[in-house]
Amino acid sequence: MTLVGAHVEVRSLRKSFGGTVALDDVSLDIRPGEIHALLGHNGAGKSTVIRCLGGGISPDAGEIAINGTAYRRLAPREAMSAGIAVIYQNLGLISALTTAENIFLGTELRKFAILSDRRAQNQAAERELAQFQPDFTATTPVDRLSIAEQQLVAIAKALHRRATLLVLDEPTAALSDAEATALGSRLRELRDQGLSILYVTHLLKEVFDLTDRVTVMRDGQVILSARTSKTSSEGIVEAIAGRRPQVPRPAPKPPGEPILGVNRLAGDRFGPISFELRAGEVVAIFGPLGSGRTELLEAIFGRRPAVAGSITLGRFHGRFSRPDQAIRHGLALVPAERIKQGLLQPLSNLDNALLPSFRKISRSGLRGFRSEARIYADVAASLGIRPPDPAVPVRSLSGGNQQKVMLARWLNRAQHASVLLLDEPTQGIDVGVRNELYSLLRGVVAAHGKAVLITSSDPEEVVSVADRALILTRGKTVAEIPRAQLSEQALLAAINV
Amino acid sequence: MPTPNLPSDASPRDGRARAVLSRLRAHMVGNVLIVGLALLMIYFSLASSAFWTISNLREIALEGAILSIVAVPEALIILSGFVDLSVGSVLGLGGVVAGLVMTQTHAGTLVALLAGMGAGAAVGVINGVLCTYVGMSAILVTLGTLTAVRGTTLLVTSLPIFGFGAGFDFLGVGQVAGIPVPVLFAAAAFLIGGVYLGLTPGGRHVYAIGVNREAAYLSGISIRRLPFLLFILTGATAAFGGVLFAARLDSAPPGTLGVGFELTVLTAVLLGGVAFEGGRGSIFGVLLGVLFLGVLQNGLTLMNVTDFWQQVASGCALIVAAGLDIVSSRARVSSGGRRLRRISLRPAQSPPAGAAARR
Repeated sequence: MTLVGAHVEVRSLRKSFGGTVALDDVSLDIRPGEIHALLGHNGAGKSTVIRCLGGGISPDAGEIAINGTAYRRLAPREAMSAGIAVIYQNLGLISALTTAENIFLGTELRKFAILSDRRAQNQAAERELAQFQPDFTATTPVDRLSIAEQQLVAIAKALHRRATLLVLDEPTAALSDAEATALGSRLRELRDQGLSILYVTHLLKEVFDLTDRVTVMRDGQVILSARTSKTSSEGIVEAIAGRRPQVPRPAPKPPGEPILGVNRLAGDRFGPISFELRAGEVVAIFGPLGSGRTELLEAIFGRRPAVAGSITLGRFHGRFSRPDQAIRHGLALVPAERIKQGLLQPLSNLDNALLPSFRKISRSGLRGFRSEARIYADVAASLGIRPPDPAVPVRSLSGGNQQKVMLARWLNRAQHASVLLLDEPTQGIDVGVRNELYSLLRGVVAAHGKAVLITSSDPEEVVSVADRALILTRGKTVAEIPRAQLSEQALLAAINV
Repeated sequence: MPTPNLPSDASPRDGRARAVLSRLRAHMVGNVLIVGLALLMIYFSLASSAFWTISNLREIALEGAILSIVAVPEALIILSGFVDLSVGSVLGLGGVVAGLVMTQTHAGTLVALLAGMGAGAAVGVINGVLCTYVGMSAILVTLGTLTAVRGTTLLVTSLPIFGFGAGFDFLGVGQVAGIPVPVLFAAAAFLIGGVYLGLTPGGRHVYAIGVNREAAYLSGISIRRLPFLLFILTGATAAFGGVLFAARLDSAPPGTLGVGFELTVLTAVLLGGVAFEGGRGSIFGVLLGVLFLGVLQNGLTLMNVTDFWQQVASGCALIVAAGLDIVSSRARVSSGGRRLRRISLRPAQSPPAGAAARR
């Protein structure tokens, strides 16, 4: 089978969200029959680029040319019919349907005008899948497939719609090594048949194994674009990391007493993992999406069950089965999905900041409005929440200030957690507020003898905020980098072994 | 305290009374339903000289009393993201059980009342366990108990019970200082409901669970126990409403007592601006909803409009209210900046989102 590859040129794309510039004059040239790597930190603008390509968002300026036809903006349908297929990390499949039904979703084959022709669909789907030599059939429900297999279905679906440019967003993040290698060779075959592929990744190894050209973005700009064979991993790492001044950090203090001990904790998709958190330190868990970092934090917090191992926290030894137990022992979790898991969007700043504390502040069963106002005002001032007004709905705050409200929930006078677990705390937060959050966290551990555990896939962030880093890949800690050796190069090297 | 734009009536020197007042004000200003209710009352007082009479106003209050007693806990359930459709049948069960105890034993009014409410609370336990701890859909479960409880009631007795005696009937027809007893109970329901929702930590937790269960759970709030207790409360109060009904009628017909009542309760609650998806609304809104429905039906009756047209009017009122809610929330989205400014001038103890939503 021969495929047609598109020549897609992204020209001078600009996009800002509110006051934040996400894309600043971004150009990208994806040539027919090549695998083109797109790299950069979280927040560098990669996902904005692929959303512009897929039609999820429309750019403020610039254009996208597909085989010479220029578009100012692409609606999702236009993108599809122009041959661009974006496969996001959630894959966009419907789990209750079969493989064939997913491939034909929206383009079902018919018989007698209204009935769907399952037999013809299944046969066509088998043909589409044959090149991947799958262990499943067209009639297998998608929810019985592994992530790797679902990925093949998503690719087959794209090819069935005559995609000429396949955009993959960190496709190997949730795959095992063997699966990742297999996917790589499939993609090379597709490339050799002529398909164009834009491949978003964090992993340098994949860049050199797989791709023909590479583009690196940072802070919404293209920093490097070159043939992969003409670049070095040092060059790429430097382009990703940049040479920006580091956030000033307080002088290291000797770490205090151990507060939290995690002993061979294991659960679905992670572990066994052991480490210790001491008073006065920030420890980062550095690992890509799908590395098990969220699962680990949630298991410590009692949000999801762990199957083995234990936690030592003060006098507690065992595993928490519910968040309220963990909270009682001084743990706090700020989840990565701020909007879905953290905020009460229509409710006020005060409601959000004092959510776990209302009962503590109350007197004889009634809310202590005066104490609430005072406690809120103090914490809003010390964290710099803007606007500080207690009655403003938290929905109207910027991402950074919403995150401060989340911190206020656990750092106010009524509710002071001794260990903060922060899952990707700066996702979707602009650089200025990020640095502010880093100094807040540094200040919190320095002044109050608390400990902070954050997860991050951004090496710059880890270097800015953490005292040491644990490297997590595929659910296991593979290395620990002590403070003296903590650098972006060391972190990137560690996940790329 | 470096928060210059903290409004003056939110300063720590202010007490709880001030907070209540400012919240009430926040509810009133610009509330579509208040305007509608006022217009309706003006219209009926012009159209019928009988409208503004003590006896008619007492009639309105009495008609709305039992509705209010059930609507308040129902509103709490809906605010926390669930719903209880079984209240109509539970009301029937409560009336029948209390009536049976009254007529078949010599236990007395209080025991009869407690027996009826106990039966209702038992249904609440079943609803609550299935909806919160097991995690089944509240609509499905309570639709099931709506039917099953009606059947159970008819199995207990298929014949109407009557002749309860004066002590029991006092609950329905008695007066204290000229105010009908059910109206006193309704006032208590609004007072307790309003205090709970507005002035206690639990009230905030109800909103939190209704807005975002996961966020509430991760903040250590008991996202199962609280709604579970609300289901029991709703069951017990619905049965209490049934007891009052039976006392008022001096009869408990098992096949008809409370039939369709769940829909009237829902209409009043939703008309009062409680969002069906939870997390938005207030007890004050429920009071308005009940009053609006009551005034509408009373006024139309005074004007000799037939019952069928009254039903048409009540239904349309609900749809119009829901429509206005959507229009106002769209307007809110499109003028985000201006709204924000206005909201930021409001007091520290933010009113529940529902109040903001209908501004």
